[in-house]
Amino acid sequence: MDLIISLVALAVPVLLLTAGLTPSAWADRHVPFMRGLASVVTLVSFICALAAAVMLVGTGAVDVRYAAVPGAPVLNFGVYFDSLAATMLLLITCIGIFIVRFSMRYLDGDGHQGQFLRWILFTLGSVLLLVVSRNLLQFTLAWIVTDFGLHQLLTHHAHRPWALWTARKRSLIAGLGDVLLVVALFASYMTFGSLDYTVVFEAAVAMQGTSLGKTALVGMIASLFVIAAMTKSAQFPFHSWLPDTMEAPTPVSALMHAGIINAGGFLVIRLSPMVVLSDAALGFLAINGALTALLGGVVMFTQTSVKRSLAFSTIAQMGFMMLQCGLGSFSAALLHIVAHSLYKAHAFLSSGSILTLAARMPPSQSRSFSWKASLGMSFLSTILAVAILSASLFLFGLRLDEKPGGWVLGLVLAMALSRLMSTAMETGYLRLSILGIGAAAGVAVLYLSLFEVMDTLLKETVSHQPVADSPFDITVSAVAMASFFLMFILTHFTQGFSHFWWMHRFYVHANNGFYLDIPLRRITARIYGQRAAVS
Amino acid sequence: MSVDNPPSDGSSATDYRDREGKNDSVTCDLKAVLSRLEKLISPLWPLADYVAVNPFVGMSDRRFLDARHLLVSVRQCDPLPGSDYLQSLLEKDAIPRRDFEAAYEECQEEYPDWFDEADRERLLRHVDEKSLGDPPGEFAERGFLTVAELVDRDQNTRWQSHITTEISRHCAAHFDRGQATWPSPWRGLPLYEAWLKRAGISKRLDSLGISGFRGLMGFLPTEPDRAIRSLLEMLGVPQEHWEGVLLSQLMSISGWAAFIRFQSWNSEETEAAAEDLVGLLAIRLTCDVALAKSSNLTNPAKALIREGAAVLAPRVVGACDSAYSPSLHVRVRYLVLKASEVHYRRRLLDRIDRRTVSRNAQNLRPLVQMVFCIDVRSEVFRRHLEEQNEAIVTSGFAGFFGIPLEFVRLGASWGAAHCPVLITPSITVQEGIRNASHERLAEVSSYRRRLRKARKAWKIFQTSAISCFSFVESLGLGYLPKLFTDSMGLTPPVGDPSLDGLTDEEKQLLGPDLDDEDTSLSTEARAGLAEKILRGLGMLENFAEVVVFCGHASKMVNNPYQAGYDCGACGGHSGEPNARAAAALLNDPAVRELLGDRGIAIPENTRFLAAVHCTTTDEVKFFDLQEVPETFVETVGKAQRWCEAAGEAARHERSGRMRNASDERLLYRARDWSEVRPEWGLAGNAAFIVGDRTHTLGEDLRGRTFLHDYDASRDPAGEVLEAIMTAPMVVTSWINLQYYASAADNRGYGSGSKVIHDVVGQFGILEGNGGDLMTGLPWQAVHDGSRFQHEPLRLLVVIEATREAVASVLTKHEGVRQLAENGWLSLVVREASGTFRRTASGEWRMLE
Repeated sequence: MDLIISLVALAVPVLLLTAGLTPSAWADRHVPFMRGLASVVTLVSFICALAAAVMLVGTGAVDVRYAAVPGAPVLNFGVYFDSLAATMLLLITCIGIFIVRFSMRYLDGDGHQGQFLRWILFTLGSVLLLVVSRNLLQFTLAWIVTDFGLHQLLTHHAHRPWALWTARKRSLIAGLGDVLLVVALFASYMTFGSLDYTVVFEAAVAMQGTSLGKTALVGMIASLFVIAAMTKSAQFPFHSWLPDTMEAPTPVSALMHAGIINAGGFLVIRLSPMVVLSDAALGFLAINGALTALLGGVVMFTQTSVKRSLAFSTIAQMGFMMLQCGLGSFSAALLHIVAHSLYKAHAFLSSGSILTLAARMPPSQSRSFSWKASLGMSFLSTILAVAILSASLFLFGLRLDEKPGGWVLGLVLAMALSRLMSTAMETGYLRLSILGIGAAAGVAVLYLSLFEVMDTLLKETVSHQPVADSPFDITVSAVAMASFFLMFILTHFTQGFSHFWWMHRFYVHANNGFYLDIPLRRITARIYGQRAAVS
Repeated sequence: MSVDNPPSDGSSATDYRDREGKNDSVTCDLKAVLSRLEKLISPLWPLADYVAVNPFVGMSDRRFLDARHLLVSVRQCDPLPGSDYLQSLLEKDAIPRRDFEAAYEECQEEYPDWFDEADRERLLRHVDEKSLGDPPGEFAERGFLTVAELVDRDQNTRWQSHITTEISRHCAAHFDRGQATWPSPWRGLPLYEAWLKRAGISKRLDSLGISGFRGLMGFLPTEPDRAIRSLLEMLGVPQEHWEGVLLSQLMSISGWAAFIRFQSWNSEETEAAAEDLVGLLAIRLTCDVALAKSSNLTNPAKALIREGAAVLAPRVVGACDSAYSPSLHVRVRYLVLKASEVHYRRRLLDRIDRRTVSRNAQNLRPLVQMVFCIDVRSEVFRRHLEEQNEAIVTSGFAGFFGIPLEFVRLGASWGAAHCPVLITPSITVQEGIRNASHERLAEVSSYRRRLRKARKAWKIFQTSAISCFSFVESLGLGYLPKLFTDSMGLTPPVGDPSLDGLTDEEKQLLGPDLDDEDTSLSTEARAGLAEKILRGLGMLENFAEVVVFCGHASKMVNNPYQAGYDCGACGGHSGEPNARAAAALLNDPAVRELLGDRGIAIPENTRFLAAVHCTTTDEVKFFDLQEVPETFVETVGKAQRWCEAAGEAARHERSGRMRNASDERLLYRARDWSEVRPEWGLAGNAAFIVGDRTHTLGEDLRGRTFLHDYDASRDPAGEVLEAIMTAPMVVTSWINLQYYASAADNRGYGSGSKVIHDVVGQFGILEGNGGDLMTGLPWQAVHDGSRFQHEPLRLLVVIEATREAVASVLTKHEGVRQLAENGWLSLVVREASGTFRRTASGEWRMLE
């Protein structure tokens, strides 16, 4: 049975990759064929993913080794398939169907549509190969291949210098991540004597709480994986290439923001038993994630174009997801990955509808309330939010201190609910205010139920090491909470502060993304022998 | 012919001098220069009201090739069609030799200096050998460069893109209509002052390598014109070259210039907006001056003003210099363009002349008469409709049906102008629900206001930096079914809000309400409008039993360019309210009575109706059918059935023009969110025929002609002709030249590829990561991937009137004469004695 499940799961990336190996020139000459191929292959791969997932129910993780290099058993090839891999497999194949379907008409007449579809399939296949990999080597290789496919997609408009430079900038960051992964790979082999997940995870779990788990080498391995994940998921300071990828056709943005950018998160969740060994690595990930979330959020506020806003929104969302990982709340992180992917894929594909969207809202931002009145509403809605959250937690029998990162995530949820209710109140309609409170309750219940589902799903697969007991971890949580609270205050009172000179300065810097893109432009220019920063 | 400075420009220059006599002459000159530059920029409408604009609108006082010379000397662009396209015309042998010979003669008329007898053989030999001659080098035709171009070229840097993007960022934040949650704090200031504030803070250009950029801002005067003067002096530009240097600066950011020019087009805040254009110029100059300083250019002006420019001095913008002569390559290309136009003209006129339909059919009373917009898309539908039955006749009229109205949607506080952009709406019409009580209307209005606020609140929850995470986690999964239904075309990605809060029954009864108190249109005024419509149409007697005003609108989702597919005569909106208003006016018994007094007797048994032709699906929707009296029901039913059949035939014809499209597939395009070519819009437009429809009846004009009905015998004073030549003809020329330019040079005048478009500020389009605001049509709107669906041809206007009548309009309207005689369109008159062509020198020449 295990073999069948593994083969069905493996069929998904193999099918996509095989179709993705069609030579570009041939593909461009046979566009109708490529369209048919892409549709069929994405559909079949989704069905396979579904079948594998269904068969997995009740079996537990499947680990099958197909072959190994003679004399070097560490260099082997196989499939590791568990609920985490199944979730990702379903998610990405599903998004793949929509993206391929969208690309049919969207790139019609493009001359290189065949090639485009080919690279979409290739990239999908390689990222799924990564998902079902059974050891670190396979994982790293799949990652490098994914980067290659993505590079082809980003340079689809090869005649545009802008597209070229963006792709190069991204390649540098991705290359850095690959180097870190390779180093981590060697270090892991030296420490654990194997690269297979099962072996490594078992050893890592055994190390937990012992002095073996506290060695510098283990800390280094965890840190390397964490930093590699940050490079892949556009975390500060590796985020600046992402907003510049608007040179690629819209479906590529959808694929990247929904299917590839979250691979960093997948890495951390997949390797959670190893990563949790180092408090420092996790703490760093959490703080950096929180920072990225706030950075992305603030910059997004000032962006004037749809796609750039979406890009900074992704950066923020990925930051939050990494924060969840860093806090050890891997189930919440996976929920975030799945939900964000679907949301962002839709947001990109529908980005041409912005004018209709605008027509659905009132023409101007009219604030009918005084500063003091809104303060009162914020206060009231905060109290209501805490009440709603407590009630729903009680309903679900959950306690914030029992879940990793519970306090931070609870605070963020409470602030979100508060924001929802206060904006509803500020419309000035009693009916809407009541509706807002109802919506907040609905959101809370929905959130917690989905969290419970994910938590159950991942029970077997990820580490559930409780994190928040050392003073260090408490500090991390405190810092994260404080920064979100600051953001909460800022977003509530932007209007009230708007006339201060320092807000003007802050606005200009935020509108410029705090100039964090410039170092990468300069470095890329240096590496490619350009005299001045590239665009 | 005269290519001197046109009188209008000259006088404005003197105006300034008179008004500000006390100032020194330098200031005066600069002001005159700036006001001349402003006129060269054509406006760009925001996406919600996107209409076609002639990108050469400020240049029609120049001959075509003179304008081209001016443009290519200040910017990397080319108003002539690309070499690839022209070469393919030659390769395909698409044009017979005799058309080349005829074209050469016309070139000779237009440009006697450049196409002389001696060159004739040489140019025609190029044509025979299918060679366009050697193209010039990259900057060969340029008279003026920007510092950024100069440095980029010499040092392999990317300053143009950095600078354009930085200015783009500023303009986007300044003009943003609601994209950014946190707007720029200086939107209330003039553009240039806001720039000084921002640039004094922003570290971007400094850290990219233009050292001293922020420092420079502190030194600059806050008035843009004074700043321009000191910046020009810093660059060391001699006064005689100011105009050229400034124009090249402005053209390097021409998209934003166009958007700013729009703001001063029809608005009352003209002065502030005009100042913003000067401000934009100052902004652009600050970047170049800073770059020149940081690049240590010695005497930058010397490099900026190239050798070729010497002949353009002293007044580039005013006059064209006789010393200029286009290269052989340019002349061959012009000849090929001209030949393709001659070829099209000959074939079209042949088709029309072939027809010998007598007009006595007119004397029978038609059962149904349908009035369509002049739009080229109407031609296909009309042809198929007329084929259904002889009892139906159609005519063409500007799609706003002569009613310039502002249409205010139910629950909105202001509306959109449903009329050509050349005029301002004179009446405001509220949307209402037929037979609904005031209370119900107020209820719907307040429901809509509440709904909008609720959506806004929800949007804030969705995107706010603090709540977006919880939103995604709790509701993100809901996008899975949404992705599915949107992908299958079952739901629109974003629902259309125009039917919010109505019951199904009310949705059918929604429409413009002429009796609303706010409209307050007296019967007298209504009769005046009604009379104008009928006289414009020449519909004064022999009324059909049912007369339908059929406006048009497009139907598509997820397409920011939708307004561009809607009715241009209605300001980029649907023609529905106009058609319904026109029908309502003419059904009003009080109006009919007054019309009777004025000599237009509409019989009792004539009913006016309104409909809308969906140009994407070729479906026709009739309105207010519930009010149609019993006696007309049968006829209306027939009209509906004919329209259905015509729609099917029209779809079948159009699907032939669409790659991989079946007739059903074409219907699906209207709801496909991934569709970049929902329809071909006005692509292919090539001619404007003003005259009797019976002369073109039954001819397959391939959806390439604008058709306007005109009967000279009913217009002895030439008033209707004058109206047609000054309004619809100008509009068709605008549309034609927009398509022309977007096809001829998509990089310079189009908006690039739709697949990488990004909507900025909810009003404009950026391509890819940034750069300048895009102005024209996307490549996908003119090309299907294997060939141009819009072949770049300048408009051919065919008028059935006497030469005298047409000439008298030309004499009276300088602008129209310039269009016709400077090569922006070609004018042909068909009269009893033959067909005549208007030459560049203002003569009539008979066509065989």
